[in-house]
Amino acid sequence: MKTGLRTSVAAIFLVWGCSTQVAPLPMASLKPNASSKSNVDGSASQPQTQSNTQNQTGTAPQPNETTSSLRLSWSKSTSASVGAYQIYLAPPAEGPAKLLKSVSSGTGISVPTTVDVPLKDLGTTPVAGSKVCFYIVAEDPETISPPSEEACAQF
Amino acid sequence: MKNLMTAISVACGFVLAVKAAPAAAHARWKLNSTISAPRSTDPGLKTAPCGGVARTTNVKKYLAGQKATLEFEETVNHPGRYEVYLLDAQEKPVAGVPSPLATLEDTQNAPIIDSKFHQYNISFDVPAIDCTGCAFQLVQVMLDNPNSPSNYYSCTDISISTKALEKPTGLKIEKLK
Repeated sequence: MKTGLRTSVAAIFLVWGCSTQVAPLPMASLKPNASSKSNVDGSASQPQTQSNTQNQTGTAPQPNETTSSLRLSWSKSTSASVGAYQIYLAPPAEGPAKLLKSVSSGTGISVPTTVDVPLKDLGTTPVAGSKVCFYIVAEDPETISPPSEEACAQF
Repeated sequence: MKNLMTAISVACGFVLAVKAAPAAAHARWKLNSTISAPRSTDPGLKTAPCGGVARTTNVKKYLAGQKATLEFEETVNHPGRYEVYLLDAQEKPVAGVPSPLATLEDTQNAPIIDSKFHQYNISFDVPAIDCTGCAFQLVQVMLDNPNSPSNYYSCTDISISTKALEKPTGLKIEKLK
């Protein structure tokens, strides 16, 4: 009887003691890589400008708003070999940029110079008072361009 | 009672040892990064230079001399540091460029729970060369035993060009309702 009691107490101590000492082990994510695009990260070297910002209506901190997407447009490049433009979300501070979209031409069609970016594609919803900034990069099969000046939308 | 406590200690030690056994350091270029996606999702590649993982078609283009900021993640915590190297198409270190290109101390040492991996950014100047079929190699140097470091490897495919297209201009934004 005494031995049985000791065994039970030992088992309880073992389970409790070990469970409080062993932290959950991390598991590596097995999510597949979602990106299959080619590009450049040039955000850190780019000065931030707001000279091209349009429709900066966001002075009042309204829970913003009815904007569903942002339309980015730019001038057509004179480089004949541009095959695509890459749209980047600039980081708010030091850090990597995020490639949002690649717009390219089909055969015989000129490369678009306008793209709509749904807000949901930004990853996080812009809060009132914040701004989101973009830049673009031109690309051909061999190389790329320096990043454009940034353009920002105020919310 | 003394024997009982000894038995508990031994048993707990055994359980801890078994659970801790897979906890080697792991790191890789960040999954799903649009900037520096790893060749492989596996964060525990111990074979240099790229864990035996073949080159992919997910190639990031860089301009010679530009500033690059890449992102990576540590999936199991261990002390140490991170180093980035430029590898050529034969996965050999490129001669005549800084080696490593960048070094970063491991400054995040809290336990990693629920897959909340330690996130890092690392910045460096891209070498001013042409480099086709190349890769940025991330090396995690694990220093639990400083006298016997153990490394993990992760590669992301890149190319570097000294030629540049014309810089895009006139970028504007319009809000759509």
